[in-house]
Amino acid sequence: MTGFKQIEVVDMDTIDISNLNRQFLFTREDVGKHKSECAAKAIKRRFPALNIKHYVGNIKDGRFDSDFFKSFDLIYNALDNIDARKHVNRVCISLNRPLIDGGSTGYIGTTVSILKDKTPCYECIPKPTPKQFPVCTIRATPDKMIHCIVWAKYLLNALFGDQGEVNFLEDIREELSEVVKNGDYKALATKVFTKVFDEEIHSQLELRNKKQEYGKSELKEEEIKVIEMLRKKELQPLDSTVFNTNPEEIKYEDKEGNRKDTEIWDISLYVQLFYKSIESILTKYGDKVGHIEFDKDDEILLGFIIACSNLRAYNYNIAKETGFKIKEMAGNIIPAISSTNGIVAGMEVIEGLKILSGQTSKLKAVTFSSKNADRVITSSDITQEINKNCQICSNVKPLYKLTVDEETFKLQDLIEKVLKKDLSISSPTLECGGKIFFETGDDLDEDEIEEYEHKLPKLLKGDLNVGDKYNKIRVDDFLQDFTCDIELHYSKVVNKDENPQGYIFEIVVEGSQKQNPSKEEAKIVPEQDKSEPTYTCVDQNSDDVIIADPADICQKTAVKRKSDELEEIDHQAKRSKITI
Amino acid sequence: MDITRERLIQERKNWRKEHPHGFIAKPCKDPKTGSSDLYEWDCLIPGKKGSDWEGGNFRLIIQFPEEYPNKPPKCVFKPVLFHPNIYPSGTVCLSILNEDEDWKPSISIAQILLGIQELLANPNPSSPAQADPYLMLTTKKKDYVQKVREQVRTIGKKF
Ligand SMILES: [Zn+2]
Repeated sequence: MTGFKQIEVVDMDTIDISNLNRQFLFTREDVGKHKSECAAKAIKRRFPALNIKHYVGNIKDGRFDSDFFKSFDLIYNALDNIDARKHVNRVCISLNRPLIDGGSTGYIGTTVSILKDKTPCYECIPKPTPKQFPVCTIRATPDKMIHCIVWAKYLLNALFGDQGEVNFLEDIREELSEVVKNGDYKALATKVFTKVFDEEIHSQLELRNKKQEYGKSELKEEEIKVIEMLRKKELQPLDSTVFNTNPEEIKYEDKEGNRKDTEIWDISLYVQLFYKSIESILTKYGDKVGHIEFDKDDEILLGFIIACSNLRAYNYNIAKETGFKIKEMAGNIIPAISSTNGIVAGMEVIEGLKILSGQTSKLKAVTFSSKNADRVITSSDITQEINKNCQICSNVKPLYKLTVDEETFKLQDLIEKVLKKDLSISSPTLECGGKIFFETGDDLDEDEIEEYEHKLPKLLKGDLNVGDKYNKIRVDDFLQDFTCDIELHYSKVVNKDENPQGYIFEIVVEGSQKQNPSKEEAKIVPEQDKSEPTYTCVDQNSDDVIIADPADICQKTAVKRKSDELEEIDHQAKRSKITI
Repeated sequence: MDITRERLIQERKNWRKEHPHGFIAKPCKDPKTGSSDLYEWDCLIPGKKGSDWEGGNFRLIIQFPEEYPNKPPKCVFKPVLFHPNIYPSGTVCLSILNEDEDWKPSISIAQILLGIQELLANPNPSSPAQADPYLMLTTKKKDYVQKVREQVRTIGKKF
């Protein structure tokens, strides 16, 4: 209706029943089908003249290469995570394609237009790190359910996840790793249960009594702090032996065997779920144990989190929550509201029309709240806010300095932690001294892929001799066209307390050709704590927020508006693309 | 040296994104370290369709000098092919591979390989590099064709 004639939609998700309340393109019959397909069909029914094509897949897949992106005049993001946003941003910047990024969290919606050299890119302003809770609150003095959930996720990692992750439950990992390896789930469950839900609470009770006996002077400052926090709390240790941990009938499931996630249960059922979850993890995920990562859509892992967080809540006399609520909190899910998404879609169309009609100096970043009480809309002129030293959209090729422990640092650490996590690189090629030592991509031969995979668990220095002669690693992203250099330094003593990741990664910003060449150093870890800029995407506080879905965005085709501006481009055949 | 590396990384990337059908070109793998050497590429050229070379695949090594792309790479057939424009060492004699002739830094690896495929099918008698095939081509064309076909069957089938 606004003149878009060719639209292609990319999405990897299937339709969940919970989507139906806000994604009007889908009906009950569509549940379980692919979103992109159903959205395309629904639109096609209403606008038969529209040429709409859909793809089921991840936008980071190799088939969505630069040729694919190049074929569009306009690209819309309707993504739900920072990583994919960075990826699309980089591809669009490298190909000089206009990108419109939209998002919503609850009542707040945002639209940002991104066009190389005309506006800042998505990465011009560093995104603030997700909200973190003080370690002490999580470890010793929780007083809200969310604290228990965060703790439960750490416990999951300490028992079954990667060691590289930052985790202050390392002592539990060390103490129990042998029992985990043995695979005797009954023994493991009992051991974990006794340690964390019983002994630990008992020792806190003791600590509290200790204070009464000795007075303040003989305690460490930290202990005093914990005691102060604990003073008002009612601590309730849990003794697993009083529960039937292996019941004949599982009472927390309905007749069809589905967990009753909409109800709050008796504490004994959480104990049973805890035992059952550990059994399931060890028996069903055998090989993956040691590398398990929490995924809110994994029923077994979610069960573990539901059980642990409620048991811990019981310990600290915090109100229990339903499994459904815990899933929402654990997955950082903020309810998506259809009216917010509708407004975002409308604003995105307007920004898109500005781009297509060449009015790039009028591009705006718009943020609004659609909540009745505080309706605000802020629109800011972003064209002046380009970061000249941005590693993505300026011509500065960044140089980083990486210091690692030569005795423990593996190729997979470099790839998974430094490149994928810290730099958001999706498909790296690594070169050092004229030799390519790692590549990835669908185009490679099977034996090549296998050979590279075989290298992943090897030590960067001891096994692969990277950095022996030359210490500069060239990193090139096959899909993003992002290139940088990493200067590699080995050190025997990377202080683990200060650098829990086990490495130090710093940026040495190279002055661009026009500027003075003096090197400016800025630490990347810990990340800069910048106050919220006027142009941001709303999901920055979480990696996993529900953002406008394809249906929401596709509705832009149904936006009824006709202005001179629209008619002007109406007759031009335009292609646009939506990534979700 | 940085320019050379950067260019070779780019060549590898371009090739991975798109290359002529039936051709192979990739940096040589060191079996010990599993790393590949950007300065030496292992290639396979299919004989041109419709020519006497059709049906065979011929292995070629490309060696890049430190001055690349200002200077052209050296292309060597392994094993050596019976062809008037290939030196007894296996090195290809082609104007676009000669610094003093038609080499341009903008020539891509794909262009080089296509150029060599063309040269196999259409030898250039005005700049001979190997005596026997040159003489045979100019005097006993039939025998030459037979020899080429034989080569397609023997060398060209190994890969
Ligand atoms: Zn930027």
